[in-house]
Amino acid sequence: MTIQDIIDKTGWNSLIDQNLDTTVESVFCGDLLSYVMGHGESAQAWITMQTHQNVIAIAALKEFACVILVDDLDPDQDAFESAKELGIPILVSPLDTFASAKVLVNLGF
Amino acid sequence: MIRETYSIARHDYKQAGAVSSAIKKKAKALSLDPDIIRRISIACYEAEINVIIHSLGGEVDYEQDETMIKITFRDIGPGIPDLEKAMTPGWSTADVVAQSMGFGAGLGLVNIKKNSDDFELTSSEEGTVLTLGFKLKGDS
Repeated sequence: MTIQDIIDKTGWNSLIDQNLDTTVESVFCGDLLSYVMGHGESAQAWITMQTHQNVIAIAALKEFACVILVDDLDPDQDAFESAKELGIPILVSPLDTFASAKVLVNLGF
Repeated sequence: MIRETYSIARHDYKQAGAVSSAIKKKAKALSLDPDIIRRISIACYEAEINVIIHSLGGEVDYEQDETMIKITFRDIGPGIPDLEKAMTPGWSTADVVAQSMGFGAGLGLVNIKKNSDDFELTSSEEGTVLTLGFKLKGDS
């Protein structure tokens, strides 16, 4: 499933319209950045409530497919700029982490 | 021998990841094994964040020959008082600012050790030196 497929099926807001044809292999949830660095895998959609620029640095290093912010959170301005520059898609879910994950589970992840 | 030096400033969270990204880019340009690139990226990011959070600033040396990549993080203090404690998963002295960003889980050094082939950590009040080695595949 691609990021575009997720957007179409969930209606979640997409903030960076780049690389939306990237395939999402699985989903990872985490807000402790060292934990995410240690356990996340490439091509995952990363669900988090962290909104600062380091999220984008980690997404780039880990080669995550996209970042999904929960609870309608906005990324910090520098995070947004950095995501745009690096072409890292950010989706925004109106739901909390568990409910967002559940939606993705129901899509087949 | 390829050699490069980068610098890291204290509490410069906005630049966090810049050095590890540059090193990752270098490793990619050299067409290294994806697994090595992945391990280098994780270890360098964690080490870079440690220098930003805990030290007064530092430098990173990247050296590569045919068999090995050696990356040295050298900072200018205040040093790690108890290395054994610092290596314990979950133990951290990160401040509230770092914690609010999701750092300071006490997993950094553990992640670094797990992802590197050689790991050497020495520290005094003058500063901390972390030397990491990554074996290049092909002759092992």
